[in-house]
Amino acid sequence: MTPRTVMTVDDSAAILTIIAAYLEDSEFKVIASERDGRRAVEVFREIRPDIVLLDLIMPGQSGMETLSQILALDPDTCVVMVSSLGTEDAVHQCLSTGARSFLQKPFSRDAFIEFLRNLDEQPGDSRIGP
Amino acid sequence: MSSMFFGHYLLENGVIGREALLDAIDRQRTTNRSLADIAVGEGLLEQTKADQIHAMFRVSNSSHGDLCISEGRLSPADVERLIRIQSAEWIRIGAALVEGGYLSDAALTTQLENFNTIEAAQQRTLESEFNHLEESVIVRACTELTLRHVARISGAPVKLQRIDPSDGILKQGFRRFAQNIVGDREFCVTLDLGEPLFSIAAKGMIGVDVDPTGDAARDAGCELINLIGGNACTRLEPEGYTLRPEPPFSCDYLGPSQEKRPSIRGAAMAGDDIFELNVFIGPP
Repeated sequence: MTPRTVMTVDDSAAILTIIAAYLEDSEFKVIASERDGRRAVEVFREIRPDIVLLDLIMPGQSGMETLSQILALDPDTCVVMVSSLGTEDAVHQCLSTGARSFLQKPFSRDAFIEFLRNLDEQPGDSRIGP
Repeated sequence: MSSMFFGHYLLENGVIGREALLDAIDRQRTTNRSLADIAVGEGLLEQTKADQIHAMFRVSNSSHGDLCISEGRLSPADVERLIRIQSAEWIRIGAALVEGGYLSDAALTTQLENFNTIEAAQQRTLESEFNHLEESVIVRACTELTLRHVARISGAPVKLQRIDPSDGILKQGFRRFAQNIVGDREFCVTLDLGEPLFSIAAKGMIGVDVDPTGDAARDAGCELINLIGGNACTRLEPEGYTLRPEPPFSCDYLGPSQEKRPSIRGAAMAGDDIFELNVFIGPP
């Protein structure tokens, strides 16, 4: 089976490391990890991954701005917002802007992979954190 | 006197020596097994699966038993039986001290009664201190989430010792991880970690040993405060607050002349290590 390609965008190198480790030996393959929203949009334009895991709170260009720019390039992109913030307001804003789903940190490896597997079936608010 | 673990209480009161406490902790480590480890011993789980459960435990809010069930490794009946085994063999610090010959049964009973009386009074004091604080709902949420995440990441028992107004300065030997929260209230929550807790927390976050002076460790600390701040905003939403976190940041000891700024400071322990949290009320 061809692995589904993933781009992770988070200003935290720790989170990029954790996600890469979580997805190792899974059917998902991380093909790009970016720490800056602006740069992430440029990379997205080039590589067009199947899934974008996008941090909401980032210095410089925010996750929301990055989300809008990615969707402007390809409205069908599967963008999952990832954040420790899981307020109704934040979730609603992300989903109404066009994010496929919302993932609240922290999360375990198995729950994370299960979440990605179910993305197509269960789009929307999927807070598997606390 | 501040709230503390029973072992530290005995040590501070001269009932036992440091050697005795370390030996008792060692006995606990040897005797007390996680539910996943007991399952391996009972032939219900492979070691590799138990390792996965341990890894998941560090990053989730579920118990080993719940994780085993949700991951389809064990049935609820298995978990119930394993919990009975675990309860039967589990030893607390007092029993470990008696077992090591450092304390008699009678002395343990007396000391426990004294400790529980003091501890209950301390808890009442802590509760009262919380209620008298400015923005107590915010401070309580930040404190509870800090304790929970530090316990989860460090794997050590965590206890809040004091919560009181402070000058907010960062102590020498500690690194500060901070996050400004904005919205219809403005405050900053910080976590001050010394060595070795900082290294333990960084490893707990990333899953591998990291150089405590490097960017990866700093990043892990920032991510830890980001979890606390973000989760605090989420928890406070039903209380009527509309809040959002700004990107986290870190700073090292700023020297003796660092600027003082009023905060609510919580002093806490994770195992043997002290850590502190601060909530600075007001604009960043």
